[in-house]
Amino acid sequence: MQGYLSFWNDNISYALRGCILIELALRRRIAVHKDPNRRRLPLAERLIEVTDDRQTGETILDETLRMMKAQESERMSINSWVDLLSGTPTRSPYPNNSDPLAYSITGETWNVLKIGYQLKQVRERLAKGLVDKGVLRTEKRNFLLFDMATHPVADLRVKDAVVSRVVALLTAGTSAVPPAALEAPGTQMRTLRTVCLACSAYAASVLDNAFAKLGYEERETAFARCDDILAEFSAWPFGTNSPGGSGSKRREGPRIAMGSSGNSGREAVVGLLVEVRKELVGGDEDTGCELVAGVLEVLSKLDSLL
Amino acid sequence: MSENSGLSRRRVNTVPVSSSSDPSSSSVTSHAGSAFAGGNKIAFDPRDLERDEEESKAGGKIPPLTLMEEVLLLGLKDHQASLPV
Repeated sequence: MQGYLSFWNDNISYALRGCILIELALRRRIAVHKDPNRRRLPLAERLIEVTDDRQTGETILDETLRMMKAQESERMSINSWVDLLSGTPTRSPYPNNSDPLAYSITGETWNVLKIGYQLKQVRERLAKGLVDKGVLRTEKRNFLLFDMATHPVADLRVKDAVVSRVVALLTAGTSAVPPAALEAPGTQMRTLRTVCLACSAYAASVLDNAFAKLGYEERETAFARCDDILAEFSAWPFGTNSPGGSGSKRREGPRIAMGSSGNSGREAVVGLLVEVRKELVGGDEDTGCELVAGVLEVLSKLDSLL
Repeated sequence: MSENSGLSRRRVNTVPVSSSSDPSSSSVTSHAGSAFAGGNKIAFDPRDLERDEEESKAGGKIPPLTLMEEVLLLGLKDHQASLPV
């Protein structure tokens, strides 16, 4: 049974909830609420607002968007939303803070608590969506005592393309972002999208699966690179985490062991920041991307990365 | 084929140009055509308009897979399957 999307990996469930918010933000449906005072709050504590409630055509995104729209009268923070979507609304009890979860479990808020329940089967529903898109197929398997529907990969090219993008991004040796790391030209936010993909996969603990074809050293370097990228992109404006600051401590061990591989890596991360800044709408005023940074910050705090 | 049966092939909205001299053209253009890249004709769908609007607001094409789907896919090993959990 090795190789099945392990059902003991909780990180992926949590990371997928973060991805829902990131995808909605990239599609310009939600953003950080534009309040000049928000800068006093830590990034992950800033409130989310719905900026466009048109359907996306993706059921899970649309469901989430509807719930967020219904919650507009009592906006909640990035942190709270990731927790709520994961069905763990107790992770951040701030008694003196305006976080609505902390004090009121009445009417509206109670509805919100049900969201985690409603989104419970996100993984299975995503898999079914991928069956509809022709990427996975459904197979009945006999597991000793019971039959179960499983979803093997039907179109390996699609999966390989995703793997190639991540590997190209994390093994880039110069400041130029390799085209192989990006979606087709004309795709919206395509540099930031691959950054989010790598960072979310890292937080979901599925990155080593993508590194199957890399040797040990390449793999360690790629992990360290992803760690650097996550540190830079989990701050707003992007790239304002001081180098060597709290953000990039985690993988110090392997990085020291590798000696001087840091320089070209640093260049590549800086190049990435330059490219992503070109994609921002209104630079530091891009509240959608500010939200993306906030979600990445939440994901960077996951136990899997500490 | 009954009109109210569940599934039917979409028809192209446009009337084939009558001046066309190719005798086979009317039969070729009477169905919705292929949706695959390189297919010559695709039915007009009201959703196409929405997609155009979407793209102009989002500043480019929306990729075929969502970020969630891509992360899930990375978690699967080749020739293996996901369990419904």
